Amino acid sequence: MNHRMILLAAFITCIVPSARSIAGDVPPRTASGQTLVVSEAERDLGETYFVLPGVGTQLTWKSDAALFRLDAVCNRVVGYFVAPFELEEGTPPLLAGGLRAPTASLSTGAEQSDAGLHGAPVLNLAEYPEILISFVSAGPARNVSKENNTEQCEFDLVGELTVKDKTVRFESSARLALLPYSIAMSQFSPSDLLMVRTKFSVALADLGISTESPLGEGFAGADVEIELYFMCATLDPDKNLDPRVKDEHYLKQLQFMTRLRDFNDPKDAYAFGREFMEEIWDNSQLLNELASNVLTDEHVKRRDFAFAEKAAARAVELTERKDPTRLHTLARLYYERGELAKAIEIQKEAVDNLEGQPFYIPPMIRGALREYEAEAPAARATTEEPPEAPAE
Amino acid sequence: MLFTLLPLATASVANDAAWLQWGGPRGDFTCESGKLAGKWADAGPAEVWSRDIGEGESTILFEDGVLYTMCREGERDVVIAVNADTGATVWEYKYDAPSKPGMLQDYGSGPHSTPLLLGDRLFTVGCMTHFHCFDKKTGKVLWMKDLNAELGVSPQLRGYGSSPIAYKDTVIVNIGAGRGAEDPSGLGAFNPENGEIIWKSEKFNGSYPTPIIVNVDGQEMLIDCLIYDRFALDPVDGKKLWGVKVDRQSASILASPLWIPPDKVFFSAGHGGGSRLYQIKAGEDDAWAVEELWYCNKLRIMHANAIRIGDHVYGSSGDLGPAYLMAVDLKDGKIKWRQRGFAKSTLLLADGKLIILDENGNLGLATATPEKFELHSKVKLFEKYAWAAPTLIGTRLYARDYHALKCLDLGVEANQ
Repeated sequence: MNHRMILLAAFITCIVPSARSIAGDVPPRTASGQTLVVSEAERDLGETYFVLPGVGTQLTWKSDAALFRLDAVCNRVVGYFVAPFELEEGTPPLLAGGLRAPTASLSTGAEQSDAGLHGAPVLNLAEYPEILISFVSAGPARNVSKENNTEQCEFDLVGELTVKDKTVRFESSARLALLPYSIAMSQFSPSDLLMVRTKFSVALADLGISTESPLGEGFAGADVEIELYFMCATLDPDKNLDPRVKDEHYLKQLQFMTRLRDFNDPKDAYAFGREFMEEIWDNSQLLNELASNVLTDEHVKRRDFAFAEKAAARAVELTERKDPTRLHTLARLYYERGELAKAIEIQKEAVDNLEGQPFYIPPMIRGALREYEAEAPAARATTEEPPEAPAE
Repeated sequence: MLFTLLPLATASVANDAAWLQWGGPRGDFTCESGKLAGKWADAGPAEVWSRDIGEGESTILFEDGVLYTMCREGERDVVIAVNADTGATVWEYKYDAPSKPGMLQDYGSGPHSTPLLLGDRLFTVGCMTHFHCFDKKTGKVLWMKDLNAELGVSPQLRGYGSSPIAYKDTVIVNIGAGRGAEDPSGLGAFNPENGEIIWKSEKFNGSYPTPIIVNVDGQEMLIDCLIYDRFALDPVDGKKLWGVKVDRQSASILASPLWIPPDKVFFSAGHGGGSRLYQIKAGEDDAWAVEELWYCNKLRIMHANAIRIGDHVYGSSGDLGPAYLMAVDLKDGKIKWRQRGFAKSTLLLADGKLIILDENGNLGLATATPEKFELHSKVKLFEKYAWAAPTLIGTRLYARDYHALKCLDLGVEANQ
């Protein structure tokens, strides 16, 4: 087990450890990996808002040096903020907080640039799988407004950014908004929301980023601009809202995705996933979710089709080919694997079994069939022999 | 001026030694009791008996040593009478009530509704709107109406939820219709003898709250809150006395109305709906009007209940996220305190103490004043989901979740 795997194992598989991280005083991840351990003392300070993983740009890393411009985004940040119950002018709008960003999820969108960014001279992903941001203090709220059921303010934020083994303090101007649970915003989370944004600059040299960077001399020596934008919710990401799923299984689902998607460690993730699959071998719902996550999460970089097929096929078998949601996932597998005709065949089977389904299921199932069928002519066109040229 | 909360039943005597309908003897989850222990042992209060029961949030009625409630077994509703001293089944009646297409079944489909005891009869409305009248002693079905088939009554997305209540010689039932009903209505009064309908109100959407009946300056009012509507009907004929509409955000899953004598009514809704206090006033030309005194978006009681003690309301605020027990000043809607430590909870007030049962099955004993919340004891009683408010008779507490029905003795003697 290399250093990185040891680190991963330490913070992903922990069962709510009590020790705080030394660097930056950021609490460890919970067992699911999708949020951090919030102490009872911090919870007593006010309302706890959890970062909604995957929502918004979250952490943007920009360096704009003479010869090289780098824009990278990580939206798999996990963490929390504690805010007072009532936002008042002149009092701090934040009372506690902590954030962890998986280094592997900080991405430019270009494989070569990511390799450079994650390499040893820059972020050194192999040794340091996370970037940490700790809350130090918040200044008094300014320009508090309370309109249209939304409360907003400006304030000065002091925090610490830890990259690799270097921690630097930052002071920045920040904005915060509190939005009570609303129908309009419930697509993000069915709970109260908090939004925080700020921006600050740090010298790359202070983060121990080598002037021998493989990204070139123009990169080294420049400042990096960090922009933070978080949407947070009072609903704990670890809270299982599906009564059909056992809490421990729900947390393992999250843990699997934390390993696979957030830390981009497919070897470790699928090994974990195979053990989990055995555990839920007779549970069609969980098997279906497992396969669906592998096939449809846009941030999963390595989709193991054999793994997904095993789970999806078993879910279909357990429901005797009668559950359209299970068939829908199996069809998706064929679609992702490029077997369009088979995908359409299975999806039609799903459509034939829609009777009695909750209102939101039929549109999803029929929509997928339309999507596959729309692609069928194009697929045929690319596989058919080109027509012979007319004789002169 | 006469302001009272009406006696709840006529044929049966409403008293604190019986629990005849939703909310207990006063319809507000407060009751007289024996002397309750100020603290429990770490293992919890003394358990008298425990038995299995099926899924459901139907609360528990009590009369003459027998408990009555409902549960679900697969696609069947079960109405059950249980010996209150032993937990043994006195009688049970099971009937087919298959789920309707398109319903959300992830939390089961109920039963959410609590039965009604009136005279020698027991009335129930099951998950799929089967309205039964039983001989309470034997469990014999005296009549049954399929409200969905006969009146287009909606079983709701998650199963029918409102509880029948008694008014003089009638049983009042939410008969809110689903889309496409030919003759949509809101509430209806039924003849308990034969199930014939006596009156139907104007249309309101079906929903889960149970109405209350109060008396405002000599006018009896049937007050309810259904989706967008907060309103009062004349319980004699179902004519609307007053009504106001709320916005979409407040048109959510609601707690039952809470009467604040002499002339105010408190409504609270989950999913961001918040709480409102209305004052009822005599208007011009014998009309009635209401004025919204305050709105508080921080207190959101979903499908639980609130308790009034003096000038404050105490409730468990929580949607799907964290829950807080809260004290709210009725004067201005300001929150006096929040207390962590219990998930979304139902409350009961007896002997000056709050009995708290949260959805995760934690049972608590506490004292609540406007200044502070003082927890005396807390014990894990059930697994998820304990959504039915408990029932207290003397010192015996009857509580349930989706799996078990328990009788506990909260009295001083049993907990020394």
